[in-house]
Amino acid sequence: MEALRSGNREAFARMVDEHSPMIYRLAYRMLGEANEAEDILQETFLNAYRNIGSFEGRSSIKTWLYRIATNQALMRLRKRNPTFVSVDEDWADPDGNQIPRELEDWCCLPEEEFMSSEVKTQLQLATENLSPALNAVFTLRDLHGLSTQETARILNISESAVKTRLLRARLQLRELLSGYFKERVEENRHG
Amino acid sequence: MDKHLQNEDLMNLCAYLDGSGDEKLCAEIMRHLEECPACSALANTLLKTISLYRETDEEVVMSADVRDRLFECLDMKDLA
Repeated sequence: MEALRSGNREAFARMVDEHSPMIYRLAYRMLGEANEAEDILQETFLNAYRNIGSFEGRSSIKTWLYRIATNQALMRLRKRNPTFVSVDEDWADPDGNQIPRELEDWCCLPEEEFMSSEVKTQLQLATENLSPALNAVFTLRDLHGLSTQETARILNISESAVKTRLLRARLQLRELLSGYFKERVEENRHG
Repeated sequence: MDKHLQNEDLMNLCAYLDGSGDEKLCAEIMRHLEECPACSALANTLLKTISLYRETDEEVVMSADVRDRLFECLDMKDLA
């Protein structure tokens, strides 16, 4: 840590090698585009290199890098679609139903149905429909396996907001994918 | 539990499956899932959604070219 803080290039290069794959994966998942993921990767480590001297070590280097990268990705997502609004308001629909109910259980589909490139496209399209705030929580918690506490620190929100947003993101993604998989179930039924 | 699962139940279920939830509460939810096809479909597809994303995320790999360009932009090509 001292070597890093004092601007030791070798120590910084080791840190880049250790953490860059996860930062790239985070950016790719949040933005869905390789060029933009690479931009975020470079911006994150340039920012870290410039500011490593003032890194106080109150969080781990990993958390610090995640925070820089997530903020950069969120800024880009908000620029892409500035119409997304607050995510923590009440999320019941006008009829008072809190949970969307697309009831087809498409888990019974043959496993190869889930492995096509079309499914990957559907997964990406569904992610693009999430608000940036939900996208960030889903990516950090479900895909990067960070704890609720770590995610709350990175996003500077409460732990209960992380839990609520995570469930909302999961439900929204499930609902969006259900439309697609329901059709696959129908096709399988009718040969 | 007579009614369909609500948000809090799903949060408890997910927390349990993530390894941090209340076992007793979850047992109650599991009992409901056995009796309620609608909630069972919801829980199954919710978990499948998460697992599909996890599987595809593992396929995202940073290439050697991206790493090279990163070291170049950091002016650390000599250490790449």
